[in-house]
Amino acid sequence: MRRRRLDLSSRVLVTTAALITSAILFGIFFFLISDGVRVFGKISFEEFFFSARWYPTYEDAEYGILALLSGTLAVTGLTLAISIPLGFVSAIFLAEFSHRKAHDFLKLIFELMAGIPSVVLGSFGLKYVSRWLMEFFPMKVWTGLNIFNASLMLSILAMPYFVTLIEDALKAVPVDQKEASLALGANTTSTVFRIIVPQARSGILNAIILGTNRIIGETMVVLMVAGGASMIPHSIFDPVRPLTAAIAGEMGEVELGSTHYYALFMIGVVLLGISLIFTAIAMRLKRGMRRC
Amino acid sequence: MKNFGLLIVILLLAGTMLSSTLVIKGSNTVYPVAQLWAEGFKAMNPDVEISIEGAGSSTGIKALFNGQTDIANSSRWIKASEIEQMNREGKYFIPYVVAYDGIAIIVNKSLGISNITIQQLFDIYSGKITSWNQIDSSLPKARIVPLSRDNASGTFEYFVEHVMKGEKFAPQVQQLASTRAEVEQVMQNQYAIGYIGMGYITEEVKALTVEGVEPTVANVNAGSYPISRPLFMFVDATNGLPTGVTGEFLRYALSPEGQAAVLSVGYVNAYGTK
Repeated sequence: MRRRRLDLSSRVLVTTAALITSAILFGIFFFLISDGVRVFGKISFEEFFFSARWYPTYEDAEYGILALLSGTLAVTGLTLAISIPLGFVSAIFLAEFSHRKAHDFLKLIFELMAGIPSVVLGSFGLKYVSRWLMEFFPMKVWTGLNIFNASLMLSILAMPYFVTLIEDALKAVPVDQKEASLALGANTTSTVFRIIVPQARSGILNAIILGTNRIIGETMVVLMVAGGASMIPHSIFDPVRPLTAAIAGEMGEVELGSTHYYALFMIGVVLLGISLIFTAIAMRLKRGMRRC
Repeated sequence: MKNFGLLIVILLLAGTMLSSTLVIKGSNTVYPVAQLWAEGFKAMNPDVEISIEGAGSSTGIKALFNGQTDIANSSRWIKASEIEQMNREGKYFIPYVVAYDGIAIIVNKSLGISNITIQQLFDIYSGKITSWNQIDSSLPKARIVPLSRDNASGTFEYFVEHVMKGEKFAPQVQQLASTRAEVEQVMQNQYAIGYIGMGYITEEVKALTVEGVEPTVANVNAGSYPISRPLFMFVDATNGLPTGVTGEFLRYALSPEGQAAVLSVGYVNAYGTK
């Protein structure tokens, strides 16, 4: 009897906690979306999504987010291209190939990396990386604040996520699988890539989802080093103004209830949408993997 | 003992004289410096309640007509329509020049240019000119990197209004989040150009003369530097010059201490600082 009551009360507790979390989350969605959609009372859907002209503070204002959106996608894409392979290799090294000392040392480095505040990374990119880029690629780089700079800084930010989470996923593979493979005469390399990595796929995908959402939402770094030009980029050395940078740079001065104000909320909705789409795709991939 | 009582009465009276509220409304440009003045003024007169609102120059002057504000901040002169309204309603507003807002054009020290015209600035920022040698054939054939402040800043608004005449920036104009970031980029990038509040000029960059006039406090005060403007506080003087808290506040704003605050937010002082 007592045990059942205990069970009931803990179940109530857990359910309430879950409900409160979901209520807060949906509350945020609700307010964001209800404010965001009001922008379409003032400008057309086509202009907002398909125009690359973002001029919100002029007399004849224009609110096209295509350039900003392409900035977000370019920075996120390049960051993933840099940080996922690096993170993946580092995680495999940490999980399977490293000695204890090397492991502890690298682990410490990644933990320190995870603790760097993004504003510090932004300042670093602004002051040093932009100068180095201009010195190393004097022909290609016309401005030190560009997609490449932002992606490098964001990679530093995202790497610890990828490394730690992928390593956890690799370590979660039952050790008897590994032992069986080694006992059959496979060497460590093929054991890792043929046995352990395929088994850890779902965890690895999870790591990528979390890391990517972190990159998409990152604001301070891109505000400081992505360049701030609302243009559609043609190379990785062009400056861009990602969606988050536009919100952070403009929300402070915007007049409450103006078209610009609602447009910035709609940008928030778009960011949320990108995150959701990305997560949905990854979930589907994960499910597909389990079947085969 | 009797004297002591009298002293208390006098002190109380003096206290009540300045224990009131002061409402300031108007220009967003004047707002940051007005806020500093309010802080300094409150430190000396803790009983005074000050409310400041930055909602645009026109809103401030409208509030002055309605009697909803004691001081209207304005980054422009009074309009003809407002003078008409004053005549109609039998009111008389007077301006105090509290500071100047001057904009300096900065480039890298190594770039061989010393002067720029308003027309050239317009061409650069609207994207009609994209290479330095289009300005002067002795300059390198290199891409111009135009920098700007964020479109939320007052400096941006002023630049768009007076240099661009409302024309839009080219997409490649880089909007940076702070003046410091602009200076940093101009230091690093040989071919960058930027505009900043005159108070932020440093030794690390070269400030160009505009239409041949140097961006100095003296030239701004003389009105000869082309991209600068006076910043005003208007008060209702229908019944005489402002007295009480309003008068005290204006006196503080124009005092050496108040004018030093002007420099600290990047504007040019209208009167002497300490």
